[in-house]
Amino acid sequence: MGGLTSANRSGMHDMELAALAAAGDRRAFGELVRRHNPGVRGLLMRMGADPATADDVAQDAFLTAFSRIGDFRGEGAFGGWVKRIAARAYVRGWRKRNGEVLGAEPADDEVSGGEGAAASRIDLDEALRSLSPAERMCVSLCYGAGFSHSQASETLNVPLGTVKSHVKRGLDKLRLRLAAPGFEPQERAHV
Amino acid sequence: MSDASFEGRLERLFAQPPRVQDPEAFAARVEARLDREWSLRRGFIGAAGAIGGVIAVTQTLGGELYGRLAQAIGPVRLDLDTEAGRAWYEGLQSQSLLSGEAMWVIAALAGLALTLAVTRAADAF
Repeated sequence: MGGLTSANRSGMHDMELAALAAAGDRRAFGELVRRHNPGVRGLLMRMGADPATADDVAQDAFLTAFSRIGDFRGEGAFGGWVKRIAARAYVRGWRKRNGEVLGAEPADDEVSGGEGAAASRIDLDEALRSLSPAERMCVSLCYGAGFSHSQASETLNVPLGTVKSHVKRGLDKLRLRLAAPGFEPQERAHV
Repeated sequence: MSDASFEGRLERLFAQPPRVQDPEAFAARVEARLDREWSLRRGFIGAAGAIGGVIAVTQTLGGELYGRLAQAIGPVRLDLDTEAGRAWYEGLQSQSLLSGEAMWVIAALAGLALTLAVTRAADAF
């Protein structure tokens, strides 16, 4: 372990790094953090966290992941595993701050794909801002963190039907926003 | 666009992380926290060992072990007023694993463990 350099580690697969981290190699875990922190922090911001909160929750999530690294069996991607830890932690904090009930729907539920959208390029993050907090949370959990509807319902402690309706409304809004003329998908190549 | 293809596109968009501030500095902060917690844990274990060592030494020294040991294993009641009793007791002291030298070694080890614990705790802060 001691002979590994950061260059060696940066060339390793996530699974190899996770195995080293499970054996106590903190630098290997650091490499995993380096690779996946933008994804984890980004998900939290998409769920509605401000950047400072996203950083705090993500840090705690990575520390939790390190302490539970032995549980990571590699059935899914490492990044997805940490995202789910972080998403659950954020929801717990969010529920403490906002009570058990998902926020009320905004008065105007209609979203136009009109002038505002056409005038400037819209990306996913901007489109997510048009969703209510509850819709944003449900859509991000299901499409960003890979939760099933029932897992999201369990995590949020709301009925399954509520999650499904938030997701449906959220998707309808996103479809309108993302289909607006002027939207240029910002899909970048995966590393 | 069909539901399935829109959902697939949404998943791909979610898979692309937004730009976040300084991912390198974030990783360094997490590593620093891991190192700190690791050092604290090691310091705690070292301190626990040192305290255990000190307790063991004080118990050994304060428990009149020689006297009790001599009484327990002595063939006859130990009488230090007699020549034979004194000789047997001195012999026991020089041959026992718990001789004076052993005591000093144990005390030195406990001191060493304590020093190690203190240095590690100092490193952590």
